[in-house]
Amino acid sequence: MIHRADARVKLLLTLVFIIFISLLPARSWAAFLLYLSLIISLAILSSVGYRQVLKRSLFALPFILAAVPLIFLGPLPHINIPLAAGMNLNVSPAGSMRFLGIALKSWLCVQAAVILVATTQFSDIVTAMKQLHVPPVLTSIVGLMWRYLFVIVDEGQRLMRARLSRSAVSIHSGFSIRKLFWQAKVTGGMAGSLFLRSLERSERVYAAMVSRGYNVGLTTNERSPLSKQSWQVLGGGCLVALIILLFASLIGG
Amino acid sequence: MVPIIEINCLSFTYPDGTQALREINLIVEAGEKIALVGPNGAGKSTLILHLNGILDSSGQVRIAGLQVEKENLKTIRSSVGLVFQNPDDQLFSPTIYEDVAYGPTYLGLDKATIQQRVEQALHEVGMSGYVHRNPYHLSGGEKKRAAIATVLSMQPSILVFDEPSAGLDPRARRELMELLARLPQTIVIATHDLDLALRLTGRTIVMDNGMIAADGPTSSILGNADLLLEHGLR
Repeated sequence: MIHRADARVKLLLTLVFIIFISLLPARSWAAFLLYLSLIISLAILSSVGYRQVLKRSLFALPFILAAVPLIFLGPLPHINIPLAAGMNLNVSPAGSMRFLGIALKSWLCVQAAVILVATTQFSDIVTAMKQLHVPPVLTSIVGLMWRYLFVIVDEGQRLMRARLSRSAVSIHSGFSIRKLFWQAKVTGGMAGSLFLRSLERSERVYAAMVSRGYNVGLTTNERSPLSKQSWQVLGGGCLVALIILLFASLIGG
Repeated sequence: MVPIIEINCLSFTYPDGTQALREINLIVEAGEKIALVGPNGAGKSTLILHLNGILDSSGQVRIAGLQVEKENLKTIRSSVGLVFQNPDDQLFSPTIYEDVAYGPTYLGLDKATIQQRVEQALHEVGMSGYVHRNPYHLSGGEKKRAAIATVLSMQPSILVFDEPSAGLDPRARRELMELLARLPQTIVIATHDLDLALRLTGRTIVMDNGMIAADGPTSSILGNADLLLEHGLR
């Protein structure tokens, strides 16, 4: 059901959710819980499975790291936690709460995006962006990024395969600094050659695209108006997000 | 009649200083089947990329009387179909259908025409049942034929192939040759496969060091052992 819904509706609803999640006060745990249950039910409804969503949402982890300093540098007062003799860790409780809020928010947003990507074909998302009047340059960049991602992964796999077939002895057997240094050098070389090869390959792919008339400004979408049902879903989704926001500000964050 | 390809004094130097083409002059009449042979680095691929204006340099290229320049590129690219050596460079969509529909879509055709062209192109290469398959999962020979279909769907009047038989097994190569023999368009094939050249083309152009070293009937050129040896073809 969710797979077949209009891609524009899904894209817009995801954006609405992300905006409303960001608008929530930092400590609206109840609202976070509501969103989480919403996301879990969507994951189950779309038969993507919540475990899958959870796994992919781990992508959010590195971004959460950016908020870690809040734990130590947040507003006063700080609590001293003795670690060892003469060493104390200063922790700000308010900062920690803020960090937790940011972490949960970004994690929820990523989950919403994961569900969108899992239930919608990528080309449909790009088409939906075009239909929603996103500038053609942006949609082209998104589309090309997707295309070249596979090109790079492909080249990388070939390099790895060629390297593995010449690695008669497992690289994990034994350890020495010299060996590590040499391996690092090889890996650096591989990264460089991956870049060059991908560059050349992408030039050829681009030439093949241009040969068939590819042109950035040219969009080829036939515009079909949103169906009544799509409007209802869209309106319903916005209403839910609005209610959660009201609820969160009422019970006080 | 206006020649379908007319090249006057075409020279090209790559940004790194390698001179790939030196004052090429060439005339091709409509309907000709031409083999472009020569050692690696002779300039075959570079010449091919000039035919639809991917590369641009000093000199003149005319396709059916139309100068290859910015204003005419759309028309020229729809009439010159380039099939690249590596089908993976040409197939990049999630399904064969989207790949074959790519050219017609950018031509701005309506949905029904696109559908009809895709079906026709896939039928011509014998791949009608592959519409919803993923190009990544095809065999080498199937990929090659799919790549040809992506160009046929634009209904070009000239087909240009870069090393069409490279990497194909004997059966895929035979099927490719049967397919090429059936195609009515003007055909230019850059290849090291002299047997393929002999079977499919009536005229052969030998390139070496960015220049045209010989130009004549395929049978006499390929029968000239000294010439072939001199240009690294045997």
